[in-house]
Amino acid sequence: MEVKARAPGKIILAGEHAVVHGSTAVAAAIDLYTYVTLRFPLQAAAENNDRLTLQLKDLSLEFSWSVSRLKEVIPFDSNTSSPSTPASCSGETLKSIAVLVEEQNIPEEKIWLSSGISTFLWLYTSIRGFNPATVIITTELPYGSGLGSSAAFCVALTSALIASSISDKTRGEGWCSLDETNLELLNKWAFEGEKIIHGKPSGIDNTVSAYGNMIKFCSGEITRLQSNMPLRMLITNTKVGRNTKALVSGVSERTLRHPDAMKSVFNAVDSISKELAAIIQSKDEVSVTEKEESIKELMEINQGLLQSMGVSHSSIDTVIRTTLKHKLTSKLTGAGGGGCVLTLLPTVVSGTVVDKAVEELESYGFQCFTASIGGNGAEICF
Amino acid sequence: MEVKARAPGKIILAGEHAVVHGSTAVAAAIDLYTYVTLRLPLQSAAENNDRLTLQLKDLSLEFSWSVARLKEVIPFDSNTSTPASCSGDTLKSIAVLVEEQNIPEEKIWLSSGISTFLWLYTSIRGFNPATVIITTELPYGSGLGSSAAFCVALTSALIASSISDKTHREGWCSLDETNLELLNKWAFEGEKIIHGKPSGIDNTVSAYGNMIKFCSGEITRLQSNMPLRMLITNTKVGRNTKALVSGVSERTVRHPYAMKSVFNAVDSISKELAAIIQSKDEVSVTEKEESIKELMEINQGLLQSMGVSHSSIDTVIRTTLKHKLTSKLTGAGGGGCVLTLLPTVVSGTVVDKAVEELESYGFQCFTASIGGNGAEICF
Repeated sequence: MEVKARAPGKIILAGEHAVVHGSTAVAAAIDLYTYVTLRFPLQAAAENNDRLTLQLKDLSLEFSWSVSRLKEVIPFDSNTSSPSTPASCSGETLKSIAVLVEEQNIPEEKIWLSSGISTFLWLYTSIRGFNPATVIITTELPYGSGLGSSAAFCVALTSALIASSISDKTRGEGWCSLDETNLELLNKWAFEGEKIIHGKPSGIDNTVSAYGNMIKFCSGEITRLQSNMPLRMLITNTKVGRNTKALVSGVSERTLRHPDAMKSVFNAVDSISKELAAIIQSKDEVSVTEKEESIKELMEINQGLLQSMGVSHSSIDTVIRTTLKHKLTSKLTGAGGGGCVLTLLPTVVSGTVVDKAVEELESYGFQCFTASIGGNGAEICF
Repeated sequence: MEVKARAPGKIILAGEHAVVHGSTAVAAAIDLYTYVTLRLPLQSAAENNDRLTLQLKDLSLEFSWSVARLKEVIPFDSNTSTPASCSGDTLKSIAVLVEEQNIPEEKIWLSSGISTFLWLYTSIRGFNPATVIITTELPYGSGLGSSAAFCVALTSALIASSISDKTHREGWCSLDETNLELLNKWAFEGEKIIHGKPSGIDNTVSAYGNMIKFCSGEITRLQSNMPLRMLITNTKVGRNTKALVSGVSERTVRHPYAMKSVFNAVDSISKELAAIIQSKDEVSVTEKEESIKELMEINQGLLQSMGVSHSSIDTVIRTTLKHKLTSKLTGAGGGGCVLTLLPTVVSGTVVDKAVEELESYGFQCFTASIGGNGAEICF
């Protein structure tokens, strides 16, 4: 039997970095997905009847464990662990799981996959126990570029795992979302998974991936937003790696040195996020083009403020400069220092203009995607 | 007899644009000068005995009026020993005299400067013949205060010519406090003719030198306690200052809260900058320069938020950044000049490389000492 799930990546529309200092941020789902196929063996089948296999198709990598090996190593505690009550993975359990991951001999240059594979093992065994299966992952999201690929992985995986236990399989053809109760469960599990990969995640990524649409985030409080306008972006991956921790602490250090100026910078970002959230949700008789003009301007102001924080980068500036030549406004998204840049594509922009911009950006070695913003969240398919 | 005067240009170190919305700004004199030579004819000399001549040496232009013609047109008010604004009528009359000079079409922007010259000259020295020669190291209209330096240098020379005690030291020396005050007031009136509603920053910095802090009309002179050197890059991109200023205002109308915070951030930057510059703490110059560098970077980001940067400015910033130098636009933006801090520890080679790269884009580079002398005269 087979269950499929998909979960979207995310972008930060406004508020990155400042959000760490108490400002509001706005994040949105993008229609670039991570797909998970969960294949269970039939009872009688001999092949793979006792193994748990993980296939990362895009990387042409496969990892496999015998179910008995998993039982040996991963502690099963029926008191704390049940599929319907998400709990954090303890340090002990994580150490045990790490052993299982090490046994797989991951290629040196892909060693960053370790935490993701640990997360896989823990989420799988927590929700489906020690049952054999083959799990196939593919993704449209570039890794480590700020587009929420790890959260999409956790959400898609958890969706498939939850879906496999849903008895009522008489759903419609094609993709459909989970109900509110299951979404809540899903989000909690995915958040626990994110903790293994990221340590102290904010919860924004998994919430956006699970629920879709957009969210407003401020001091730990997440508010789901109902977007009332279509929004399209060009997303440019500069492919410049960066140390997110270093960028975040850089901003904190600057704040220590210049507290008054930086406080005002963060206040400005807070205002921008709030205004953006209001525009997106607005049911006013304002034309889409007018709303887009406002969003454009807010993006420009936010970008200047991110530059004040010191998190831009020459590659980001190149993208901004290039799109500006075509009268398009851009803003880095996420940690900065490289990573991805968003360019608003107004409804009135011509395809030719976009093509020219993309051509120029690609000539620098950047990777471009166009994406619809604020679409569906996690979905399953039987 | 000859009197010389020189007055420095200026840069805005922090606060441009935001200052219009109530934030503090810091401006400083730079050691690039406008020079005025005032040559008075001897009583008996026949030549030029009845003419007022203005020579703009850098532009190879000369303008000349007979003193009689000046008397015909410009109303004589004997009460103008105290600086007063040039009335609309007087300005119209003066404009006639300027038009008669047939200024070349492409130099028509000189008109207001020549009007200012006629008015300042006749207000301070009356209808007396002379030849006034102007040269300058400051590029026009690039935000470095060339018009204020012109007004200040001219007024200095005019005031100096009436000083009876000429037994001054050799070389350049400043005027006393009373004359400086008089000078600054006259120069401000001159600036009004050229700019309409100037803030007064430019002429004050040019007259007094050093640095000033400016907030909501209040000017505070600062005493700098550290040397400061900048690379000034003129992108040579012209811009419409009025349009840039109103662009910021319009953005503020559309996004009042965000922009208010942007202006608050700039205010904090200017105040911190002024404190660092004046600080007598036991902090090393290098540490102070690191702080100033960072404040410049934050200010530049905020100016970008205001929407007043420009691709040429970004090119300068990007280029200097490659050499680990921090830059910030100065003045109106949209082109114009960019400041790059040159720390005391930076090597000449690094600066030369940066300048070479900048000049390859067609930009014009000067290195300047910041916060030096104000107006000075020389007999």
